[in-house]
Amino acid sequence: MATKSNRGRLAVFAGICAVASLALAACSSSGPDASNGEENITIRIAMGSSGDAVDSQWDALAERYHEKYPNRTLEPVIQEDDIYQTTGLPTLLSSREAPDAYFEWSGPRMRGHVADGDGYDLSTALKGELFAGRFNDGAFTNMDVDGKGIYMVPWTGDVTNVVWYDKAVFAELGLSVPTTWDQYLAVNKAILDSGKTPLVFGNKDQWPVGSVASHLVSRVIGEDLYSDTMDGKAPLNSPEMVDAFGYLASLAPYVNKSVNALADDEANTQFFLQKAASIQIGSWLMADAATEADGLDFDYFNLPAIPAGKGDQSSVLGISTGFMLNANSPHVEETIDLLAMLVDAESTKAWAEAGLAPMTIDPFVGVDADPRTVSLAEMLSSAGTVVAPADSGHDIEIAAAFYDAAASVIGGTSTPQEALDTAQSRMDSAG
Amino acid sequence: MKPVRARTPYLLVLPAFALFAFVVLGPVLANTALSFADWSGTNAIKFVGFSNFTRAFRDDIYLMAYRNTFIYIALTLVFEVLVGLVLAGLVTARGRKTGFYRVAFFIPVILPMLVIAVLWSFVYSDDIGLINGALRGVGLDSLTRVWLGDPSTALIAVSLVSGWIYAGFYMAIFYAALTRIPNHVIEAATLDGATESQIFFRIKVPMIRPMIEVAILLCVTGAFQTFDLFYVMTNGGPDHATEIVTTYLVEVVFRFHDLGYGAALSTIMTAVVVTIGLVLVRLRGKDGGNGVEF
Repeated sequence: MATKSNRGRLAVFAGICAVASLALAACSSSGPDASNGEENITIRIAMGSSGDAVDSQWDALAERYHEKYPNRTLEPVIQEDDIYQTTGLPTLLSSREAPDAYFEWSGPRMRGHVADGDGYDLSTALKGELFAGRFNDGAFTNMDVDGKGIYMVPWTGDVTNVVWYDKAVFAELGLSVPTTWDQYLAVNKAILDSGKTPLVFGNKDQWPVGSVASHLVSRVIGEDLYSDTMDGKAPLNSPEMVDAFGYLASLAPYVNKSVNALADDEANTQFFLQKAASIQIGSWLMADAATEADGLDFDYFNLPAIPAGKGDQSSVLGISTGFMLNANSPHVEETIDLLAMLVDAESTKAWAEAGLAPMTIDPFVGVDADPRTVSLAEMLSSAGTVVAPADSGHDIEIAAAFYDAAASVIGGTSTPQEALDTAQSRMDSAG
Repeated sequence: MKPVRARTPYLLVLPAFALFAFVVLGPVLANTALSFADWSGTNAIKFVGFSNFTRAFRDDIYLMAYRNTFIYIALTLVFEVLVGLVLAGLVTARGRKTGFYRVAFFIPVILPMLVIAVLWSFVYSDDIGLINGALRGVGLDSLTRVWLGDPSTALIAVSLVSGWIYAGFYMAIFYAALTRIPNHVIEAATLDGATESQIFFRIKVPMIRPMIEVAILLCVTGAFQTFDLFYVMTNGGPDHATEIVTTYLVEVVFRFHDLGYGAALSTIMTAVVVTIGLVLVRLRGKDGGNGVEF
């Protein structure tokens, strides 16, 4: 009797298991695809938002990827830019559903991921058929570790600091684009005298003015000393640095009073609403302008030359961005396929039309891109010297102290000497 | 005969202790252990002894964060606890219908902190903000400020928002305490000719003293947990004028990726909070028992 009863229970149990297995097989996102027997997989790619125009292109790419590889699904993880840069990406990388690929800036941030074991060496893949003819060699600058490997698929080149100006204000006041620092100050004074705010910054997070300070300092003290200072090989409060910060201080009378209270996107909005005649920020302003600057006639010029400066006076402050492949991804080949699609001709066209400056060999071919976007990309690619902002190309703690100093000076709460002495003292105490 | 159940009490306590160990003790011990290491989050952990702690006591931003936190505590004791007490006194005053005010004062407590932070950022805005707009409207242009961008006003401005939120919370606590005071005490005082304010300050407040002490304890220890309001409104700026311990911790851990140092900073903060809490509890214990029984 007991044996019979056990057999009955076993039969019921086996039945339940069979039904459950069938149900799971039908529902699972990673089980075999009934149509072709291949496994269904989801590829996650993480990035900070670059504006609505760009963000919407990810859906189009996801569709195209799924069309080409029916058993694969692309899941873009788009976070608010500041969140992504600080807490977002580290949290994602340590989560159970870590992204297979993720956006990053070239240089130290990228190298940090490689050191942490989150970066996959893409050099072999980039030499393969999928990426053939897509990039010039120069596109991979700063994407290696000590000259070895390539850990990013280049995506866009960002010019990090130019002066965007309202052409109508310049025309109204009879101003021409300044080419030297003295002319630049004179232009700002003329705008201020007319009752308008000459220059708006949203420096709540410190990198906007920090970028300007990076550019100014490299122009004044020379790129080598700038680099040494930001790498901790020279003091932050050297006489040369104090002299360079004097130029930043000379801008202080012309900036918005809320310089250290506004966020960067709020400052962009102030410029778009014509509450300020100019703004110094990077090429990504074009992406926001596509949706927010309706009717505003604006253009840009590079930071004016400082005749007494020791650096290249036509240098461009910029940095390349790209996508890293997570070394811990279980779907390396599939992610490489995606990254190849991300930089193919069709995607390149889409990114360019959305206001970005792709790093591919043919960024604007057949694209009805904004001429300013094209010219920014050309300025970056033809620059004799490209300088990286302190927080992207150098020691992050030194950059933070440097940006603190820049914020104090532009806010008028410290002299250049005081601000840089404080910054150096912080670095000394950090050991 | 007395039953022998030596293990029973321990078995009964075990589930609660296991839960406490899992969610509190374990993380505290792990964090303390990490304080002695150099670790970026994913690289190999390297033992560095006490160097993270010695660095913390040389770190002027960290020390400034404590100064700001203590100023914030002092301000919120006024803006939250004292204002909450006054509001509770007003809404419990006799002969007034105060249901609407009780709800109105409590509403900020239930609003999401991020919404409040963004909302008040607009209120404090230098060009479109309500405060500067009102000052300009009455001809006091010289008093307008960039409230969140001026190091001398930013901390007070954020503390005021904190007061706006939590005064209603403390009002609710004090309201509950005040309504438990027996009517005959108030009636006797009234018959003796006491005014409304004398009744409040000389009878009601002393009688709810235990609840006020609890509120102070909550306010002081809660100040060390504050983060989102400061992060959204000022992100610690300008010039670190609103840097508090938690915002600096986030900077160290998530921007500098220095988890070992961040762990040391949070270990020190834990010690500070526990010490303050113990001192306050000891002070309460010395003189109690005169208030309303709850």
